[in-house]
Amino acid sequence: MNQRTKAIKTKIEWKSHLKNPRYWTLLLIVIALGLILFKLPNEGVLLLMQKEPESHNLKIHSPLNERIIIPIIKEFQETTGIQVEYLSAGTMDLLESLDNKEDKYLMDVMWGGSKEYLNIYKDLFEPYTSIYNHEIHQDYNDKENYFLGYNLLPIVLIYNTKLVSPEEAPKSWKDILDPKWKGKVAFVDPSTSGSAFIALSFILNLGQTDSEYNWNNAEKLLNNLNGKILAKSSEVYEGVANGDFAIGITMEEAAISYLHRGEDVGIVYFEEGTPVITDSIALMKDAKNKKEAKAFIDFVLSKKVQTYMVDQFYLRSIREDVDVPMGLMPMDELNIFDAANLDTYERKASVLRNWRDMVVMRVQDGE
Amino acid sequence: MNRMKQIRIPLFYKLFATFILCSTIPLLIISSLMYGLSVNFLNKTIYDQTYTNVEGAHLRINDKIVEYEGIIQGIMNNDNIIQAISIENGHEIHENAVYEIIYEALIEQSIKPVVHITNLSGSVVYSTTPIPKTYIVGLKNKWGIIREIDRKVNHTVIYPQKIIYSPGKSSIISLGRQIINSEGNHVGYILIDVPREMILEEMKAIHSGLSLHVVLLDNNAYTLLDTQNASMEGKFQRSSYLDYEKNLEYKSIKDEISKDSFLVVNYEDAKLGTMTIANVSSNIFHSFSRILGLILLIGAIVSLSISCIISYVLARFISHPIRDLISIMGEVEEGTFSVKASARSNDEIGDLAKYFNQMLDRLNSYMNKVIEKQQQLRTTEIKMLQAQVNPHFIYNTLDVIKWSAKMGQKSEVVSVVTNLAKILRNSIDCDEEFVSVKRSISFIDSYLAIQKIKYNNAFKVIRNIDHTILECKVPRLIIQPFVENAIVHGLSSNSGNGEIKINGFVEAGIIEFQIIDNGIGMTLEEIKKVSDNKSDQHIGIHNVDQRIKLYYGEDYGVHIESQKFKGTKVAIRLPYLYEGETL
Repeated sequence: MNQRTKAIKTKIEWKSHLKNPRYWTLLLIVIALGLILFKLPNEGVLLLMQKEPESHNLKIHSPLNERIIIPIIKEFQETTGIQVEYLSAGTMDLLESLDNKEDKYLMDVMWGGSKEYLNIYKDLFEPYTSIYNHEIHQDYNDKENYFLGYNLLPIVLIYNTKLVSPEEAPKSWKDILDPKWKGKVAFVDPSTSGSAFIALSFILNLGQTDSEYNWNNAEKLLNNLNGKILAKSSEVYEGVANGDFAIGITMEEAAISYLHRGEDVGIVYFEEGTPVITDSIALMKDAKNKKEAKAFIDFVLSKKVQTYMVDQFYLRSIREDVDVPMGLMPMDELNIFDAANLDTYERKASVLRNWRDMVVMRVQDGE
Repeated sequence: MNRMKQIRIPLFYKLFATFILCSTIPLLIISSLMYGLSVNFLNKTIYDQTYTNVEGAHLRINDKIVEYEGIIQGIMNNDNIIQAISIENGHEIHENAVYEIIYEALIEQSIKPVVHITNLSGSVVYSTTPIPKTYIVGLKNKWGIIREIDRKVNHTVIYPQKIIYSPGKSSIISLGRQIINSEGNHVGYILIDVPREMILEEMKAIHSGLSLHVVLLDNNAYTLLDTQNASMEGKFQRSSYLDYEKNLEYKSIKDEISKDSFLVVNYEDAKLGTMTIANVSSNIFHSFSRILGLILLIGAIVSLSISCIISYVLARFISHPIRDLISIMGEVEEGTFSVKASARSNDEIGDLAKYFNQMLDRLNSYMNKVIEKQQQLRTTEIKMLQAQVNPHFIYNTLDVIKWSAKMGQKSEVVSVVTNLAKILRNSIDCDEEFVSVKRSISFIDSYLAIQKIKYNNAFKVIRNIDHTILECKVPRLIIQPFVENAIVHGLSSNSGNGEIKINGFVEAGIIEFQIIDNGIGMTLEEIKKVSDNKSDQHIGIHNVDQRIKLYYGEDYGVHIESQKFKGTKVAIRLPYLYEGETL
């Protein structure tokens, strides 16, 4: 009987568990195990780039060659402490991104691109008068300072001295249309290269009789290209220097660099006129770091940086108080043809379409 | 109400679930702990080791830098050097002498750094490797390291910059300082370019078997060294491109870490002003933790399956006897009493089964007893009824009446007839099993009246009934058989001295009726025979005893004492109950 009555009373009230110290120690052990289990020490994940919030970095888009961008940005960051992020891409790609920009914030500063091109996107920029405004050659600026020129880039003829003697070398634009240069001309696709577009524009305006462009010239040029149209501007001077081509149309600074490096190249300034690209810098209207952007623009236009660009890269400075690179003709001695006189920029799309059609037709004809 | 809302979960499932939980929870805890702890341990070990290695490499690099600083000190304070670059007396010192000094200072170095000593404009230069254009331009424009040197006069500047001298030979950090002559005038600069090779060698020592990607950056995210992607050196980590190919080539450490990183060690070198990021990519450790995880998973699945089987078997083993018991109880409830629960297990359930069986047995025997009692009662009552209307008695009494009438004994006839009528009425009136003592006695009186006449007053009757028991209820016809017996058998041979005493009293809660005669008595055997059920002639006596025992229990009944030739005493004992009371 006793065993039976004892068996009935084995059920312990749960509340009495709370009073039992063994219960609490068990609970503590379980909690401790759980903590060890789930604690994952993840030290040292702090990254340099994550130290600064993204938006405080100055964002620059530039079509310039990285060998020019990097030292200038390095010096800028080190002297001002402003951190920079840059996007490097071809002029045409950058302009296309401006086309498709809509309301998106892309960058603070557009560093590079001829003033003719930038003029198309004028309404995306904000006018800024640099602190060095007085030192700048006013002929090369937008009057309202929507974009500021910082370098002058003449377009020249480069020729391989081993393939062409100085006497044989073309002297004028007309010369390069001569069929004797068939297959020997290095030329970039004008839809991707600003310098090639100016060259094409010049050729189209050459010997213009009526208001129409001289597409005949374009035909002659295409004949001479013989189907080989280069994709990148660098391929022009590289191609001429290594002998793939005899002559090419390129920017003066590239040709000069190669010359100074001891490559077998020579330079000719076109008789009819040397188109000069005014490489310009512009402040974006929707820039998020305007103060920093202005500081950068001033930096680029400062005498120090302008002189550095002359000395290091053979670029012509926009400043009047800076000499031209050693050995080069001063600006006023060049027969400069102001690209502003070319109205092809306004009709860029149709001009390029025509060019493309001509190229395609040739391909179909089995060139 | 509550029972309807409760979902019925059979005991088997509760047990099964409990067993599974009890086996899987420890399993889960242990395997997670093991996995977590071993992974943690591994992480920590590798992190510590890598950090120590990186730190060690940097300490060694710092030592080298200190050596270079020593070289700078040595050269910048050398009078010959100062003279050589001073514009005035530059021609007096032959350049061989200058280089002798330089190479003397470099003699201890196994990997020779590049040394440039220039005057202010860069027109006079002594270099162990042709001075790069960037320095000449820098001198003219106070650019880069020159700017830093001029800013931190009297300090050796450590400046990060990548300079490519020739394929395979480049420097990634440069040191520089002003050269001041004895008058305290700034006359030139000394620049030392730290070879990439030197730094790389120290960084290689870090690797120790792990696949490690080390990147050395300055405060502006300029890449000085990248052990895996040398094309990133001299570029910024924050650049981006639109060109597809360029984007492929460009591999910033941040992208890599976000895509595939097991561990990242960051180390700041205050002296160099650099941040070293060492990224341990996850290949080995992913495979390791994957294998570990796989082993644990397989182990978990196997043990889970085993524990499932065992749990199932155990749960069944425990819940089965209970289910059996319940089904047996169900059968009992439906009326089958002959079942038995199996009490095999030696635990509470076995006890339950055992006690259930016992209970069932008791129930069975109890019920049997009740049935038996009922049957006995029926039989007894029938017999009693039979005894009531004894034909012999009526025949004899009628005979008495006949003879009395023949002899003209009018009063005797009337008396006998009246009494017979009373007796017969009593017999017919058999509604109640229990009658009052008073009525029983009155019945006896009637009987005795008849017998007296029949036997011609051959005997004497002394009645002594306690008046307190007159109203008590007793079973009918319990006294009369014994009186009859006393008259018929006890006093048959006596002649005129026969005496029957009838007593009724209560003592200690027990009513006792005594019928005492001084007849021939009985031997023990005769007593036994009389008490026996079987004898037809003495039905009444046994019947009374049986009835009393049936009504009241074994403690009560009829007791016969007798001495041969002396007399017989019959004692009838009943409980003292009032009307309505029951035992």
